Amino acid sequence: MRLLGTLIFGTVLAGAGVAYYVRERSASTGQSYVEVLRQLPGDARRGYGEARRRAQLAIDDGLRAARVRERQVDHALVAATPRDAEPSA
Amino acid sequence: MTDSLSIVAVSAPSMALRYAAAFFLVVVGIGLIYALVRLGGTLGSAEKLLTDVDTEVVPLLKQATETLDGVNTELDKVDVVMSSVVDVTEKVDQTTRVVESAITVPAKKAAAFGAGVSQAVSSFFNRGSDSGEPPADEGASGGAWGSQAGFGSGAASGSAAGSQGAQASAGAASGSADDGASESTVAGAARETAETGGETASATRAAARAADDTVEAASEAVAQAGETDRVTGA
Repeated sequence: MRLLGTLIFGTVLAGAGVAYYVRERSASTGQSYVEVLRQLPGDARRGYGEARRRAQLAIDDGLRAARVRERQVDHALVAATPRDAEPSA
Repeated sequence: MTDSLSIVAVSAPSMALRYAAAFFLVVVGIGLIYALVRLGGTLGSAEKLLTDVDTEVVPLLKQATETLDGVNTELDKVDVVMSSVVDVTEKVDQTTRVVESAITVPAKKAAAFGAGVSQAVSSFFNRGSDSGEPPADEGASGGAWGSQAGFGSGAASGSAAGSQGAQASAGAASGSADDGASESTVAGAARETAETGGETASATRAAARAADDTVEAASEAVAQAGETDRVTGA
């Protein structure tokens, strides 16, 4: 019963999302609802691919920025540590 | 008579010498007696002095010995205390290092994570605003790119420029619309998305600032720990 409710809720939510998208897309492009629905799988694939490409690039940028920030923090910590307190080798 | 006179004449100087010698011997004897008497007195005084020294210095030496024993005992205690202080100093040093590593490493990782996430989000949505034009092979679905670009730039969470680009792309999206009603609808949606992106950007920047504050606090803690370590080591 709980699974059925979840499925119904998910279906209604997905339907509402698709309906909103179709309405907005039809309003912006002037295409009919049927044409928009027919192009929906292709648009979804393209959107997924684009989002994946952007995510990959964003992850690369984030890793690069994280390394730079870590180096900056390292330098700040070394600068803040007195020389007398440094561990002897 | 002549002989006696000659004897007298002859022995007169000799007798004078004898008297003189006798007088000299008597004077020398008296001087020696005086010197010996004085020497005896001096020796008596020296003996008395030595006796006094013997009677007074020996107890003083005993007291000094006892005092030195007490000082040695106290020095032993001080040695024990100093050993304890050295142990405490070493433990403080180790604790400082542990705390330093326990604070700095997570703080460093948190700062790097915050910067990375901020840059990643910014890059993700800014690329969306940069690539607002649809690819050439998209054909009939080009209108969808307007909305996708609006989504990407609308989130624009990385920077305020992203939000501005979102609004600009919102205008572009509205320009690509066919009629005025749909234009205003899409532009409004894009602006709304841009505002949401601006809020996300503000939240991300606040998280990055919090990470920076944490790093600065960790740096200050490390500096204070080093100062404490230096003082305790000194």
